Amino acid sequence: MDRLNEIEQEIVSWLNGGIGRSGALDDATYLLVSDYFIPLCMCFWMLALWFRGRDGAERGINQRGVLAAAIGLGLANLAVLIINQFVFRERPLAQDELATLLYQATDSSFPSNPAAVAFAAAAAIWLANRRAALPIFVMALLWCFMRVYNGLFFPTDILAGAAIGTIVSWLVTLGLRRIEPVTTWVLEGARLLRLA
Amino acid sequence: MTGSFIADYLLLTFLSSCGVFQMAVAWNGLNGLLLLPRRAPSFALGVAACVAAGCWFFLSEPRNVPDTALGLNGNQQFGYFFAGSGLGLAFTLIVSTLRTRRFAVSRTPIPKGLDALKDDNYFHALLQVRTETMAFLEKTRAAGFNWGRLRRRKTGRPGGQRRQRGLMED
Repeated sequence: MDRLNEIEQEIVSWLNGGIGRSGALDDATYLLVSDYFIPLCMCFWMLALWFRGRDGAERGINQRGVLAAAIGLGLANLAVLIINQFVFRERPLAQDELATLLYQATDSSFPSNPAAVAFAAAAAIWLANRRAALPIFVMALLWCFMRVYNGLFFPTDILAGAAIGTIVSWLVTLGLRRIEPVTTWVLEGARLLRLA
Repeated sequence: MTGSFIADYLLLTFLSSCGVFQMAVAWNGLNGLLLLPRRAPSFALGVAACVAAGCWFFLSEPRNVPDTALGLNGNQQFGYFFAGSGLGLAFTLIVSTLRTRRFAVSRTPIPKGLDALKDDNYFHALLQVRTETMAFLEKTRAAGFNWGRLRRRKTGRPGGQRRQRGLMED
């Protein structure tokens, strides 16, 4: 376990060496590591997906994916919150002298909350529409990479968070299928109001 | 800048969601929700709104602040995003309806859901729901279905008696 921790610390330190070498790269990193930029892009992609589709049937598939993503996102957040009551792992920043363009986070790094949330959204959309999920997967990977690059998470934190998010979304999608026709009623209600 | 991080975030989500709605409806041909007369300028307006709002929010001030200070935690972000995009949707529905108030086309049957907004404005499409519901009720009555009897069965009290009593109380 200590050996794994050492390897991870070396990976994070090596990646973190890139910060401060190029002003343009640092500016881009500052934006991409933010708590707001990529999550907002993901949400707006899902908002646009709500309207996407040649006909009502295709749109309905996308809308089911968006519904599952919204629920999965919340439940993945809750799952990480519960795990954090029992597990604490110090951030790479706290264990080594690392540079960051975000703030000095002090809460547990395991499992990664951003990874859980981002992959929950991506997996739920992927289960509904694989092509539409591609941009969300790219954004999720980029956000997670930036978090490791800035010394906020170890790679295993990201892997654990991604696994939690994916499993939660898979279960939510299964659950929504199981409680049919409730999901259909929700969409029919929105369709009656010309909103779906 | 509004001087408050929350107000700035709310404004960002409102402006960006208006932009995203314009891009999405222009791309999918939902002409009843366009803010400009044609699809291409509406799409361009959407892109401009998103880029302008993003540049204003992220470049005007340092935004990488923790939620323990001025920033927002995940739940707050979700709440304010919901509020901002809801306001954006309301703004889009109202302004597009005002712009296309003479746009309404009377058709029967009107397409279901968002497809109704390909040739109709939002409020006209919404009014059609009432017309459709009334037509449906009329059709069921004509077929011999008695909605009043169903209501009596649910409440255990004749609907007629209740109506009479309500009139007497008035």
